[in-house]
Amino acid sequence: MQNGRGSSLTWRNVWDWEVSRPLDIWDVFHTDRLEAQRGFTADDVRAAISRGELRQDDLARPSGSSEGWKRIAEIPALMAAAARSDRKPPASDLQPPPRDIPTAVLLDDLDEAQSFAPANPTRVPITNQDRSELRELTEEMARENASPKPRKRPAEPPPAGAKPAEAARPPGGGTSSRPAPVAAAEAVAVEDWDDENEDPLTEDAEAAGFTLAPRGGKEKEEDLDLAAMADVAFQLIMFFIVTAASVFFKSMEIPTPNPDKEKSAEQAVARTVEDLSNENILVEIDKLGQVQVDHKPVAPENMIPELRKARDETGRLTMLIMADTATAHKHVVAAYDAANEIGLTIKVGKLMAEE
Amino acid sequence: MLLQQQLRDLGQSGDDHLDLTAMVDVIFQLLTFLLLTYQVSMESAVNMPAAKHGVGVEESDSIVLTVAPPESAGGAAGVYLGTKLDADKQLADSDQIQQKVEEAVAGGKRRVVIQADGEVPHGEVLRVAGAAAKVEGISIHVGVEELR
Repeated sequence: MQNGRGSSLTWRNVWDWEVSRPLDIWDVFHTDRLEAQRGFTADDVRAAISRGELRQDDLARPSGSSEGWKRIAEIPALMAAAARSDRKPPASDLQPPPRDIPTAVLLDDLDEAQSFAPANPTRVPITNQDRSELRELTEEMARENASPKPRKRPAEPPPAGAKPAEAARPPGGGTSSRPAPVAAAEAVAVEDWDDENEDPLTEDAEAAGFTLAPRGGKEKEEDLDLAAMADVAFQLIMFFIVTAASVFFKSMEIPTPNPDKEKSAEQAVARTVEDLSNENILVEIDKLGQVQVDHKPVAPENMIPELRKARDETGRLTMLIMADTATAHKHVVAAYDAANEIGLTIKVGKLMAEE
Repeated sequence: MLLQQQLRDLGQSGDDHLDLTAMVDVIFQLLTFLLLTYQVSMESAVNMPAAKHGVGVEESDSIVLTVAPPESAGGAAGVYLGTKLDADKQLADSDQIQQKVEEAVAGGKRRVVIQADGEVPHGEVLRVAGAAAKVEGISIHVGVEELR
């Protein structure tokens, strides 16, 4: 695709149409020197590459745009002619940057960078985003340079070799999603995956420094006030202490049998049943548990209504229970319970065995 | 709390912030122990009949006689002192029952709770109650279970 402006476009660069500035001005970032320069035309870039001043792993972007930095090798517009030209092999005497070179980008001098600027560079003001982005880039590179792990900076790999190196880029150096980390330029990327030599103490400084703690400022401590919970817990404890001290038996009180009456029990019973029935509601229970109220057979579930009726009709407020000695205890307890339900006083009589 | 924070920030030694975490842990330990040992009512060794109108009787004020059903029909029911069917505490006859109740009364207890199984013959319950009634100053209660 060609446009009227004379620079070649690919489909990927369509977004450049939105930008009202010449498309053939590029900003360049030297990844070895950590220095950015502006105002390069595509021809200037190619010339610098052929001279060896720019490498394919250096970063470039359309001048003044807010796009991310991309490797020159990934920008066909800059590489188109360079691929045809007789490129020099990467200089074998490329040395790693000496340590005394300040690693911070001279951002303040960016506007005046004139090293490779053409005669009439187009001045586009640097935005703050540019500065911050470049600052982050340089800081990352500074950390990598300051890393104690010795990193060989070998000769520039040929373009064909760039892809495997890129694929083997260690993830530790790429915690951020920048388009072209510096580590891609290194052929030792494959060696980084050697688990035998991996020493956690010498790992990537950035990875080592990674922390989930909030950055910037002292961490605020969140205090949880436990006083209220302690109060509630004490309340519960005191309740259980007080109630645990007293264990309860559930029981029903019955009249104390008068032992003296046992001597003349037979006569007493024989004599007073009719008399007693005038004052007491007579409840008789046989050994099978069948109940009779005032000599009338009553089903156990009807005992309470019958007793209530007997009480209301005759006004008697006492129940006399005469149960066989072989009667199961549970039937007698049921009669006790019925009496308590209605509010009758209980008297327990004893049937003597017939002789 | 703001003041404490300010003092803490100044690095002064006036940081009297008391950490309550340990105390709350101990409290919960106590609470758990009491919860597990808490009993609403004493469990009995026999199946007492259920009743709706039972009242609570404190253990400290009562002597418990457990009456188990007789092993053979017509035989005497086993009477035990306490809530368990402990052979060491079996009371053979009425005299022993009376003696034990007298000892309890001397110890300050005023209630006799007869926890009799539902199948115990009524005559046996009356026998035990009669033996206990010979001691003065007591009231007799029949132990029941909660009606569900």
